[in-house]
Amino acid sequence: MSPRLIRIIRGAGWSLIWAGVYLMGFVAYQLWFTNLLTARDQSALAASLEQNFAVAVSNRVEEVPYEPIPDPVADPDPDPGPPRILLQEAEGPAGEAFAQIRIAKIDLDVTIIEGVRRRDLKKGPGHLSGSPLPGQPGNSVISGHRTTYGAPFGSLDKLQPGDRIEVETAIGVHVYEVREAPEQCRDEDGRCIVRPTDLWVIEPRESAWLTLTTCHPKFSSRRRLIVFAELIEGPNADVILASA
Amino acid sequence: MIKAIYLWLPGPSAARVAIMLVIAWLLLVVVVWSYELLGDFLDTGGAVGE
Repeated sequence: MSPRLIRIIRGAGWSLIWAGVYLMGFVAYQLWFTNLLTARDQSALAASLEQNFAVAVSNRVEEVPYEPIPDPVADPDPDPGPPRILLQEAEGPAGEAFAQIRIAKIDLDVTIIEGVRRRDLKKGPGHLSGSPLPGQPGNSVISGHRTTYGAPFGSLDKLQPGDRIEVETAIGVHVYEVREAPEQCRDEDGRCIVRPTDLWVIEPRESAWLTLTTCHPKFSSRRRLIVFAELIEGPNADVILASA
Repeated sequence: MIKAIYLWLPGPSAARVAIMLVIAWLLLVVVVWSYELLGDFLDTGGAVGE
């Protein structure tokens, strides 16, 4: 065997060893180190939540009359009735902790931050800016990682219709109940699976909804798993549900 | 390989070690950055329409 061939084989061998080291590092980074980063961020976010609640109550919460848009077809002569007062909470700054989500069924208890930029979601589930906050009328959208960065929504596929989701914001605890997946996105297991560009899942809705979104299948960002839940209890529930 | 780089570098021993530490740190930054990029293929965070 010529010295040149030996050098080439040795070089190829070292290249494969370094490629293996790189890939093992990648797996360790994604499956272990990102969880540590998120756990550290979550500790800091949880510590700031109480203070953020106090700031939100004094600066971003107000009582407003709630007047849903009347449906002239269903009710051509609507009775306005007594005025209904809604506790309206406005969005906070991007990247700030503003709520705590608890789902007993999947043992989830994490802090939610404002925004769904990639750097936001590395800290925990994020609220889609522009969608209503949890507990407000409309469709509140929260996204989270399925596999890495603490995998807060790793077991979202285990949720079934009727399961409860609690979201605590500055104005109180809002309880949602998971609803059946719409027919247009339901798979054979009853889950709602859509493309990442299917914007209809985050469009405004009547009543008060919570839409949770995450990647699907696990270890792929090709699709999105969606869970829809409807408000059943909370500071605004009576007002919103009475108008639905 | 590390020893070969150390021997190839000019200057006194302390300078060689310092240069190697800087190279190692830059390499680590590039590797972590590439892990972040590749990680997006596994999980982008689950947002819709972003």
